[in-house]
Amino acid sequence: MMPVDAGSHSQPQPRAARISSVDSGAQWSARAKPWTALVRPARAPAFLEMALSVSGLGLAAFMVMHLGLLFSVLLGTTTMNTLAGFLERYYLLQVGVAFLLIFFVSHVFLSARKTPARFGQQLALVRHIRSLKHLDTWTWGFQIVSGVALLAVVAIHLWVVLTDLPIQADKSGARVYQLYLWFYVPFLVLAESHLSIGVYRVAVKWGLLSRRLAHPILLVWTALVLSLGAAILVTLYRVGGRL
Amino acid sequence: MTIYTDVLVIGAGLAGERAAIEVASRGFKVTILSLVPPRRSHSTAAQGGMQAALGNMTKSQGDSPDVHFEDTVKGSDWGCEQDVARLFVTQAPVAVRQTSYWGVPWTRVVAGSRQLPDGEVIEETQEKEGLIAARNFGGTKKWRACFASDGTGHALVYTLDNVVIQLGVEVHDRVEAVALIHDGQRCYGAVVRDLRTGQLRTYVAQATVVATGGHGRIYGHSTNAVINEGTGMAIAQDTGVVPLGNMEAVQFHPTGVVPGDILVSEACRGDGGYLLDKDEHRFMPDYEPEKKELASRDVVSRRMVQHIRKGFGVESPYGPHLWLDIRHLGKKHIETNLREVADICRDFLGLDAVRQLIPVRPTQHYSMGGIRTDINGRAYGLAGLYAVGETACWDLHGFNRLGGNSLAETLVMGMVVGGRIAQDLEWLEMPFPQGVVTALIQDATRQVEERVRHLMAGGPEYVYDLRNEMSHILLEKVGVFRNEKDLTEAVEGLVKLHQRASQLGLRSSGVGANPEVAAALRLPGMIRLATTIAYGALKRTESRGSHSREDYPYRDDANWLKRTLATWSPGADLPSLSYEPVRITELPPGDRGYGEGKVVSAKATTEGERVHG
Amino acid sequence: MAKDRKLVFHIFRHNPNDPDSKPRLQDFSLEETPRMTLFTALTRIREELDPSLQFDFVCRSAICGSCAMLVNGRPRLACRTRTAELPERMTLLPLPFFRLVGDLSVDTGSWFREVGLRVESWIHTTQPFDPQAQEERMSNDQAQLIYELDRCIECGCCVAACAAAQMNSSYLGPSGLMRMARFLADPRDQRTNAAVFEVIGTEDGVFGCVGFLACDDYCPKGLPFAAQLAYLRRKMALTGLRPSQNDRRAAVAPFSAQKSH
Ligand SMILES: Cc1cc2nc3c(=O)[nH]c(=O)nc-3n(C[C@H](O)[C@H](O)[C@H](O)COP(=O)(O)OP(=O)(O)OC[C@H]3O[C@@H](n4cnc5c(N)ncnc54)[C@H](O)[C@@H]3O)c2cc1C
Ligand code: HEM
Ligand code: HEM
Ligand code: SF4
Ligand code: F3S
Ligand code: FES
Repeated sequence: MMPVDAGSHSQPQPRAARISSVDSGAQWSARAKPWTALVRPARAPAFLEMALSVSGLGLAAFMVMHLGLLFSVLLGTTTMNTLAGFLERYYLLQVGVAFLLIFFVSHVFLSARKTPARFGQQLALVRHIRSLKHLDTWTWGFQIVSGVALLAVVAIHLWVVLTDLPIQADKSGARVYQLYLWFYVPFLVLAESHLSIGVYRVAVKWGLLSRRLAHPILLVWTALVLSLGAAILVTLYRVGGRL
Repeated sequence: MTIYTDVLVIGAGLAGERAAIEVASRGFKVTILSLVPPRRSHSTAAQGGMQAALGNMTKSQGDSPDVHFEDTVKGSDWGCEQDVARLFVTQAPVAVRQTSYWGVPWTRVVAGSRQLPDGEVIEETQEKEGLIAARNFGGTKKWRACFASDGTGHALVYTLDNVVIQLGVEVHDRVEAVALIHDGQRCYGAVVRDLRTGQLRTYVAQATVVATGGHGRIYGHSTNAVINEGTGMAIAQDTGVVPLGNMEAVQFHPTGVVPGDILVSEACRGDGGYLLDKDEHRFMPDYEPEKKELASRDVVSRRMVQHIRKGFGVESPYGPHLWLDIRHLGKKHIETNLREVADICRDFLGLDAVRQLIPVRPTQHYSMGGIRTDINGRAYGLAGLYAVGETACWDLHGFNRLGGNSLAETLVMGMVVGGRIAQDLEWLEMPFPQGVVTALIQDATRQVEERVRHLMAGGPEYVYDLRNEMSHILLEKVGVFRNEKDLTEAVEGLVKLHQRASQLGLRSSGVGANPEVAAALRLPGMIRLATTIAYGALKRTESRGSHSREDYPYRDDANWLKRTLATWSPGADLPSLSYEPVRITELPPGDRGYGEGKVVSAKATTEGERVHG
Repeated sequence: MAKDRKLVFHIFRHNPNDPDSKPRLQDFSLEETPRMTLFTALTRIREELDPSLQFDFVCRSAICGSCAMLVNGRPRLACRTRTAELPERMTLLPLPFFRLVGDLSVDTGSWFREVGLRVESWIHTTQPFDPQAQEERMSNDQAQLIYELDRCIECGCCVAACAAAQMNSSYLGPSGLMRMARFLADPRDQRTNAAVFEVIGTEDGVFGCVGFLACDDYCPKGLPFAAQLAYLRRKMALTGLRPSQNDRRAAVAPFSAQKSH
């Protein structure tokens, strides 16, 4: 770092500067030193900002992968069982769970920093969202609500699935058929909308996509994921019904 | 509450801020006052450009301060001070380059050839690429108006205000100077009303600078901002000892839109726009074969009114108007270089300038007159009082200001006068006679308090009624064309209004930052300004620049090569007028080369009347 | 337009300087006239119905930024709002976030001045000004880009629309960040990336932006927020990863990328 004197980064002094003028020809030079950082600026905000997006994208990627794996049930229960068995045999499931837990926990903490903590702030936010009727602002409010809901729902889902290993198509089908269909339908919608909005936010916040492009892309994407999920659920329900 | 400072600048437009920067950078404590945050000042509204003879364009080859000087003097119809004009033209290039140094994103020269709307092809040279570009403006021989896209004033104000922030200059916004503190010899500061709370406070300073801009709003229909009510001129005139110069010199801009009076920039015509009449006939070449739409503003405005009077105006519920046609400049040009104009048409008129004609008519635009100062910006009549910018009559503009010369004036005059103030403060010992000043402060404050009490006590007259009557008189009788009958009626009507204004009462409670109180405090001063304009115009029996008398159609250099000075003694009904000669150092009076150009030359008194065609 | 409409304005009234004044909505009605704007309407209300009504207009032509207010919940420039675009009954509220001066008038000026100080909104250079010299050269594209980012009129619409600002009063706000972007785009400013990071690489700076883009949608001047905020975020994130970066910054997002919509 360049050596700099302490004064050079404070506000300019009214009398210090000189500006050229008609008579004096005095020289203008506002400060004597180039503008370099004085102290090591706090890096945390930059890091946390990136970490949030990475955790969100990580979860999104997990969810897509996870649906991809469940998609195998459409090809037949044995395919799914084989795949699940394969994952478990080579500890890929465990790795997946570990990966998920790290991202999930960090995502919860990182996004908690963004959500308004004090009641006054929450009130201001709610009032603002209601009066402005602005889509992107509204969806963020939804993001918070859906996120909190997901916290509970995902926890239940993990508990239910992971306490009943190994994963097998029949077990899953039975679960869906007997009780969990009306758990999974809203879960799917909730998770998908949170994910889509989240990915959209990452894209526009970092300038990966312009908004004009992002809207249609995400619409198609949402439709795709929802129909995929629905197809899986229907298949599992059928599998469960056949038992 | 009393606030002490070295230099008090009343007004945070370009002129006030430029002066403040100069003084502050020489180590003095400056306090700036403004009705509104500085960046809202009316200087931001200037779109067109700023004149400075840089000579970077092909079409400005051969330009120099000398040519700029000649254009300015001719534009003023020989009404300006030529030593001031000389100082101005030599400093304008420095001023514009300095703003570039401070950060103004001036539009730059792009090498290569392009076709002008009239078909002419011009080639910009590689050698000049990247230097500050210029565009064409009315009344100039060369392309000389530097511009920052479509927001020259905006870019300048923001840049200057940035420097003001950088220098740590104190700005007190939302305050209004309502009276100057003085003893008839020397000015000590101002009494100020806080527009947030309605409270009064006083500012005491070694030097007081009035930089309050124009007075257009007394005309009601004006391109000026609604805060341009001439209060700075009025409080100077209220001292009874400071004369206002050439108040009858009021400029009308050819292209205010109808309705709304929003200005569409001179650049429309500079870039090749036409004026059309009700038959969509381009009429300007009929009157001005050489300069066409680009003759100086006074000439174009007069031709337009003349043409409307001949019955070629387009009738509308808001009165007759003409058309401005920029369609042929093309979508791309309009949406980049004239974007602000396209926006105005769309947002305020609901029309598309790329495909439709724009309704325009001449509208009050600029005040050449103002607080008379010497070349150093020192106001006549009171030591320690200075004026800069549109509010001053430095007398660069005489009877007609050239487009783009006003922004340049604010910067050059601010720079020059700021430097002069600093020198005055350094070299002249100007200690305050403490006891006397305290008494003066109390006295001045008491007078204002008394006026407010009087308003609160109630009276039959309502401020907005009187105001509208005043505007109506000015518009109807002191407009583009003037004559003895109308002017006499105007003066009589305004004198009556002035008397009625002493009977003002409030309709609201008047508590706190009440806008009715502010308006009522301003009104009598505004009526006095209006009267000064009408009275000066009545007495000036000639036509010069923007002052155009139907009953005296010739410029009369024999009798009127002089400047009107109007002082207003306390309690009087009318200003007292006196005259001073115009300073002619280089360019003797002659033909402007455009306009009606009829002149009674100075020699005529001895050689018998000789009228040039 | 529909003829003979009778407009009803529900206007927020409160005079903080009057101890008797309580915040409330007051109704005023006016006959609509052709091409009426909120400027014409409010001026008439003041002159004909209630001369104590406070509001701010200066240029009345959408260039000075004085007259922003909430029109039916949305921040807008009142002078540029034609009543024909609005329903017969409308609600006018002062901009939130800023300190109330009275009725529809808020103190945007002081806040923007503070922002100017915080982002050190001026050219930082060691180069002296030489009054004799020709101006420094700059490509016209460069000049246009700077101008494009310098068009903010400090009306406060973006700040009032930004939910992040409502939650965090020390947030620099979209316009503050745009101001920084304007100086980043300017080759005359010699500040290093690290120096810029100090100002906006914080929770009150670009990392306080949540990406609502209400700024982009409500800015009456159409400043390119979507592109610029993303650019600042990337740039500051990179600088945050390598905080010793004292180099001169690289060129800004190219002009063509500015126009996102
Ligand atoms: C629409 C329009 C377009 C224009 N275009 C051009 C152009 O293209 N080129 C050109 O050269 N010129 C142009 N002009 C003219 C030029 O803009 C003005 O003459 C010039 O900006 C005036 O600057 P100023 O600093 O004197 O006053 P202003 O910018 O008007 O500033 C006046 C200041 O005084 C303050 N003030 C006023 N009264 C008081 C008071 N009583 N107490 C405290 N403060 C007070 C105000 O708040 C304000 O800050 C244009 C004018 C208009 C109306
Ligand atoms: C379990 C509880 C969860 C909570 C409380 C939560 C909360 C949030 C919140 C508040 C945000 C907004 C952050 C911002 O825009 O700045 C967000 C963003 C995001 N979430 Fe979640 N979320 C949860 C689970 C998930 C899951 C399961 C996924 C993946 C399917 C996910 C994907 C995303 C993505 C991609 C973003 C965008 C990140 C960003 O804006 O930088 N979230 N989350
Ligand atoms: C490693 C952890 C996880 C495992 C092993 C797992 C496993 C499964 C299994 C086996 C099913 C089939 C239904 C059932 O058996 O009940 C299922 C369904 C589902 N899971 Fe998970 N899951 C995990 C994490 C998650 C997470 C984090 C989310 C949310 C973001 C999620 C969202 C869903 C959804 C929405 C369904 C319904 C399927 C559909 O609608 O198509 N899962 N999961
Ligand atoms: S960025 Fe736009 S909305 Fe925000 S203050 Fe500036 S002009 Fe207004
Ligand atoms: S609305 Fe606010 S949160 Fe960011 S994108 Fe705009 S500044
Ligand atoms: S009054 Fe200037 S922007 Fe509306």
